[in-house]
Amino acid sequence: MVIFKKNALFLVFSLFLSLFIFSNGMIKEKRKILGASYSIDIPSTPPNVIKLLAGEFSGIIADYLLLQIGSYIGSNSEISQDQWKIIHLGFEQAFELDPYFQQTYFQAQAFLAWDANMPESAIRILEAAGRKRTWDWRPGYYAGFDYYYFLNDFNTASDIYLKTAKIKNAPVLLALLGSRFAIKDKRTEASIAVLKLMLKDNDLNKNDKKEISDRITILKSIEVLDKAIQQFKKIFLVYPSTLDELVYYQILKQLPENPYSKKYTYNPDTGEIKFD
Amino acid sequence: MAAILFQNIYKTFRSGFKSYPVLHDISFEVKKGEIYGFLGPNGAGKSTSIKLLLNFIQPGSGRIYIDNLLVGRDGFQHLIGYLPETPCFYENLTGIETLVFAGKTSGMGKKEIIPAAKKVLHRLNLDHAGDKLIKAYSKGMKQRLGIAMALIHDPRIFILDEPMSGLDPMGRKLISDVILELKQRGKTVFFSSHILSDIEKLCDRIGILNKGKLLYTGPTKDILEFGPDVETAFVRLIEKDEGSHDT
Amino acid sequence: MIHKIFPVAHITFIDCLRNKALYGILFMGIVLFGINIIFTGMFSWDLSKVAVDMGLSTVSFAGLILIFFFSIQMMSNDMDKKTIYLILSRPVSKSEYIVGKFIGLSLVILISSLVLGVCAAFSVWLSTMTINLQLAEAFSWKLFSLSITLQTLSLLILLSLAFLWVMVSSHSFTAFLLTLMTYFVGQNMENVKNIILSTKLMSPDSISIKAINFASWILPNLSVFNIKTIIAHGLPFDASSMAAPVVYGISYIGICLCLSILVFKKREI
Repeated sequence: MVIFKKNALFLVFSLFLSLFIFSNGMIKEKRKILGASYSIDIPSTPPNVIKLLAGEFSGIIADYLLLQIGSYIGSNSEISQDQWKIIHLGFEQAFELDPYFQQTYFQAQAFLAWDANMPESAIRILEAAGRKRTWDWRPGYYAGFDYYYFLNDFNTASDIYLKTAKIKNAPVLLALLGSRFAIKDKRTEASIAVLKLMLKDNDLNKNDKKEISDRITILKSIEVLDKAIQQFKKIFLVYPSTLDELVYYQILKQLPENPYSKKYTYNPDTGEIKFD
Repeated sequence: MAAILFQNIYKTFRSGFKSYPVLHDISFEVKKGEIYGFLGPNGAGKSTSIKLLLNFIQPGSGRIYIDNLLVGRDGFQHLIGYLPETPCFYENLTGIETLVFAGKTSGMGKKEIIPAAKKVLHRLNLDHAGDKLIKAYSKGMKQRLGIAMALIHDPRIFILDEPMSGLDPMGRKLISDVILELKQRGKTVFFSSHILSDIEKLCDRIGILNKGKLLYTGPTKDILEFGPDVETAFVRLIEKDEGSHDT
Repeated sequence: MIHKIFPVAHITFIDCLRNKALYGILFMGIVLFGINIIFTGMFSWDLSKVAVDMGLSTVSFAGLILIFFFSIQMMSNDMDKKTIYLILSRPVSKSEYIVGKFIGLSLVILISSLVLGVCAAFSVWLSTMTINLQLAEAFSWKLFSLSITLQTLSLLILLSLAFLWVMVSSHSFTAFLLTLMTYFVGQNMENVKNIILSTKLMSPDSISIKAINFASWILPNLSVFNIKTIIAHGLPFDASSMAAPVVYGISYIGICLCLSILVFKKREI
């Protein structure tokens, strides 16, 4: 009994330690499978409030938010629309905390416009960034692109491009594009032109450059496919039932390059080729 | 059989790399049923001895026994009633609540605690203060409440560190009477004090400590070998010891 | 043993409850809820999430204040002012003291969470009435309560660590700083690890990753108990997945208390 009393503390400690090791192991396993999905930590406070609360730390909090967003998106292939809404809030907060931060609108454009299918949200941030960074032509450039490419609003795109073209050191092409968009034109061609311009930006990192050149490749491929489908229709009076028929019937030597793992969406009834 | 027994106690405190010897070969005993006074100048080691007795700190070497139970190995707290030098309480509790806590932890039954508490408060002239929060108590009241906590479970042995401090003459008389009553009931009282008149009046035997060494332990009247009264004898003993240090 | 622990817990609890500082903290909490209603009314975006999130955060915030400015101070006072002599001179062992004190302080935190939790729920409900706030579809009061329960468990983990730090350090301020640091690391540990791993800044074999892994076993992973964002946004959530974290929390508290007792036994008072 005495021995038991003396060792009671040791026994209790061992019991708790065993439970701890067991439960911590379970937790780590679970959270490993879920990846970073639990770790997105964006408080649902309105951006103006978070600015108040951040005080003198607004800069680093903005950095931290963007880092989180970037890593969260990077480590999750399936992001639901609800989660994108949270991410959007994160961008708005980061912007409010540091409206001059280039990273914010770069990432907003890359993720919200392209991945999340929320071009309006991206545009909001870009336009706000443009108002703050009056010397920077890029926000207007991206916003204009989004208006024309995603929203098919050539008029607004044109207005923005022409306005942005007035900024010192803005590329001349902005003015050209602005005037071209005033006339409705084939989307793919103009898109490729804008993207090629984006590629010349020295500030882009390797990942962004690859994204853009992949996009150029796929747009070119779609252009090629589109032309081939129209040609097939001319010859056979119907649209091909699959894209492989274009090769089979020697309209194309081979299907054009698709740098993504996802396949094209082709509708044999309307001959429409899409890629999201 | 001794109620309290110190056997060759050594104690050193460490601060960083330095060590400070505080007690040097302390040996004495407190017999059952007697009142033993522990005196010495400030810094002599009285409080340290009491802390060792209560197992708040551990000796470097040596042993302490309370009623034949080895301090540090055996549980002895149920046998003693302790009053610290400046008793500190939880200020948001009332006197009664504090005493109920004391009684419960000492193993008293639910039904006996409240009557015992009231009795003890009455004995110490604290009847009116039982339901008041301790933050409203004066220093003297707190001292008396501390003694009440030592008394409530009616232990065999009392260890009181400066029981008269902070009390006015009326309060001191009250405590002296309580101590004498305890002796009449066969209890053992071990207390430290600066007030030599109290020591002379109350104690059967005394121990005198100076700079960690026990200069004298024995009957109170025997110290008069060193002087006409306890105070003079005490001072001479200390001076002699200090002198021998210097030479 | 139980009959010694309970009186210690009881006096700790009563002493805290009568402390005016506690009422200050609760009052602050209630004021924050009032502000919550006003704030949510000022903005026109994601109101439900703001109201719920701010309500839950206030409960957390008050609990943290209770630990950092209240509990640590009380424990240190016991040591400094020697109130502890009156307990340890009685047949109460150091283990019984630690466990009793912990239970007493835990009860205070539980009551505070309960009171403020009810206020939080009330302020959210009031917002739905006064400013026509629409709660997220998947929102449920059950999950709201679960969130508060988990937050409270997280606070108790922090409290047990505060106990350990008080025992280890000689100053209340040192204990305060150590507890604060543990809190920040505990909340952000998982996040930082995920960010580092996913941005591929460091290879999984690097020393930093190993150090973070080691720390994640020693320090508490408090982010596991934070489901505020999920509740506020009404995201899908499986309540049974909280079984492992609850066991984790309780065992961590047990380990901290055992270590506190061990350190305390060696400590001279």
